[in-house]
Amino acid sequence: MQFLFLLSAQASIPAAPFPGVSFPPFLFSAALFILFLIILLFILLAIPIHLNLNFSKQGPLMRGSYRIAWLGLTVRKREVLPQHAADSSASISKKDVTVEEGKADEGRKTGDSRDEQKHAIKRSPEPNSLLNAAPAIAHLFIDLLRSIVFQKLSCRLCFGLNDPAETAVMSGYLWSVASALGLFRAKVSIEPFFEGERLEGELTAELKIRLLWIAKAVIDALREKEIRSLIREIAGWD
Amino acid sequence: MPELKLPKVVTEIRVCKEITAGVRTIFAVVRISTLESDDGNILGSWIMPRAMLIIEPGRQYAIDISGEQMSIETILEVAPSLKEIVEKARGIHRIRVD
Repeated sequence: MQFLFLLSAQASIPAAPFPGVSFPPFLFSAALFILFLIILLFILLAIPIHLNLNFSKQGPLMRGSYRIAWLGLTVRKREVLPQHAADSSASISKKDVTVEEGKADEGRKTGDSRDEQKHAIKRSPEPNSLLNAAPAIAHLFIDLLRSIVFQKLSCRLCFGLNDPAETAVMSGYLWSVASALGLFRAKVSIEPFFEGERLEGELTAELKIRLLWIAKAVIDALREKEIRSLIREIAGWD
Repeated sequence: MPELKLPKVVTEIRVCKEITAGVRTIFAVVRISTLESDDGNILGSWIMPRAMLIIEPGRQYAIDISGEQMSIETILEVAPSLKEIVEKARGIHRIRVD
């Protein structure tokens, strides 16, 4: 506020606003440029990003698409062609195996896996720090959720576990979660399937996200001492 | 005036996954009821235990949830999918006479 006042004072009274103090013209231009950048950044963050999601799983086939748009322009669009669910899970597990193999090879090459483990242990946060930071993390999540606006949400889930009683209990949990999140205002359908294992469903969502609120939530979170110490612990800066 | 349609209750009898307790295997028979809206959406469900089939080495018996003995035939009438389990249990403990 004081800065703006100084700028406006400088703009309105170019000749020596403070007796005895003279501002060089390049400083004034730099200040204007910085102000312009701040305003531009503010506008860019305030313009919402639109995200369209569409996923479905029918039998063993999975398909989906997503689209990210900003200012009416498509920034990114991708379509997941129909593929066998088992294939995708197999490819994921294969990737995991490859990654594990790769890690094992590296370990053998360096012959110093103990140090790596020690390093990993160092980076894992203390339970106390996590507990201390839990309220701040919860606030961060709530703020992040507030920055997301569901313009359209339609979800149909049909699932079955290997035990009908477990299926009924799980469907109760899911209904409770959906109700607690206020999703019943949206078109949400959860169907338990008692005759065996099954997972089918469709998800269509249109979200509006304002990065400004996300940035605000992150800045607010970083102002909390507990979060800062947790980050320092995870990053190993202590 | 639009016609008011009440949700309907659909009840099914299902057999739960077996529970093993020592040498005993217990199959719980439950009654699952679902509350379905007119357009087929499920609004809620509840489960109630109905009976249990207990398989021990050499014998099988059923218990009603009220605690009374129940004949195997009655439990098989309630949950026909248990027939295979009972037959298998009887087959395992059958003494073959050549």
